[in-house]
Amino acid sequence: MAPRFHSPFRWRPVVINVAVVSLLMFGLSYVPADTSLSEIQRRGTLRVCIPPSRPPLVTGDPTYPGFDVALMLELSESMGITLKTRVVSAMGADFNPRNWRLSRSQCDVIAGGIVDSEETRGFLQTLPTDVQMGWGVIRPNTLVPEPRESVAVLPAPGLDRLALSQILRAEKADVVLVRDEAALIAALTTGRARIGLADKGIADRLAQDRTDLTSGWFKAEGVTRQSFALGFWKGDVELRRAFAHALSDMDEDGRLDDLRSEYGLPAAD
Amino acid sequence: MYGIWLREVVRALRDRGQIIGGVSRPLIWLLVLGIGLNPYFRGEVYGEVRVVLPYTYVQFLFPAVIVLNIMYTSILFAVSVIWDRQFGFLREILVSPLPTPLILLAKILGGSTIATVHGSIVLILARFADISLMPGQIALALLAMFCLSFTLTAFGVILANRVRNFEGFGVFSNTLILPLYFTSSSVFPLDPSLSRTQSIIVYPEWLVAAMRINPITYAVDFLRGILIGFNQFPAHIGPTLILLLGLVFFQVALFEFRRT
Repeated sequence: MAPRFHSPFRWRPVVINVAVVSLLMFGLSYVPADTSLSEIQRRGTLRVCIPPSRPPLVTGDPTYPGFDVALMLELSESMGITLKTRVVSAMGADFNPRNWRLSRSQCDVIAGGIVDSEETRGFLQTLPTDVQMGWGVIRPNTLVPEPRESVAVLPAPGLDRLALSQILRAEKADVVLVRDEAALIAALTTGRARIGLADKGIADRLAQDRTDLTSGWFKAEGVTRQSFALGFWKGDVELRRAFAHALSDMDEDGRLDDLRSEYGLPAAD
Repeated sequence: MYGIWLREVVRALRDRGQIIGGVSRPLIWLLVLGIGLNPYFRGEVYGEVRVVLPYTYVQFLFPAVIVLNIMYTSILFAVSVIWDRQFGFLREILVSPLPTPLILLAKILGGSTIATVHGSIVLILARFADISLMPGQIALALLAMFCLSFTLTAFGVILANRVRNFEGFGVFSNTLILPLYFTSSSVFPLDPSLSRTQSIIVYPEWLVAAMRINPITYAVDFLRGILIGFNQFPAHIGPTLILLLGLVFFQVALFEFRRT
């Protein structure tokens, strides 16, 4: 009899061992990593924190709520849970997300202006929605360019304000900081500022409402567009995974593109 | 040479004890420790987390658990060298026409293959850790795991040449593998957002120094770079160190192998 080592079946125990172990590990990879999803399914509601307005992500209009809100509605509906929105006024007013004072007790998901950056991912897990935003320019139709522009800036949380301030300093622009949209329009119409800089979504909406103003992307070297995402609390792996699956389903059946076109956002690459 | 390699691989992968060991470590470290510590690392208030990394704790831990599995398998593979020496198999193959370097290379390659298999078992848990892996990433990770396995197996052979019995070798798991693992920034990060001076304030200077001189730190960092795209140190240090130490350890192992 040939020695066992030379048997044609010598690999059989090896194959069986490796297969059993691989199947075991594969099965265990489906073990829930946390209770974030089961907790929400048990509760039946998903709480999402949004700013009062951040067009086109959040509009504040219940009939046309904004891309992020509409997306969250679709996603939660497909998961069989009810969406509860909580408007946090600090989200629209302060650059620093720390000052938004958002906690788990307030919301399960944060939407309406979460920039998908490494800095954000230090604090939240993100689910990219393939929406890109950036600085937009709004100006009177009759504007004649001048070397030293007076610029009204409406701060936009999440956008790269450092790059913007460097450019404005380099251009020796006369900067007027405005607190809200009304102040921006007032600065432009009274001639206090020749052009306005704001979130592109806001600039577009303001220009849409008025015939004397026009809007567009603010194009300058060093100014980049930001990708936006939905924000999940760090460690809520199961909840984020469930939303990622639901989002992927929406992408596959075309509902995501429909939603994008409804809010005037370009289709994802 | 193929025969020696095959013998090592078949013997190890037939051994259910070794296989169970290769499974239990990732289960304990990822499923039990990862889930257990998740509440301490999760976000409660936006802007306030214990570890400012663009990853979850389990994602951070994942590459380190692969290295741990490789370390155990590679270094403890050297038990087979002691075994072969004690039962006379080593003497038999050393008198064969095959040159000694090739005999040693075949044994180390056998050990490296087994350790790579044990490392890749952990990769199956990537879904649990919420890590999406592309085929290119997996191929690169397997290559990195094999290089690391080769280096550590050669290191294990050096140790085996200095140890005469199985009991003595068992001590290494507690005095070598675990200290090397724990001082490799495997379970807690040297916060990348801090400068070295600040990290010394967060952790005692001796611990920071121990992490920085520990080669496993750079091996873990190398795998983290491949699997989750995060490097705490310049990305080239890990592969360079692994290859360099692999060559050095093989030469030393060969020298001692010839002597014995």
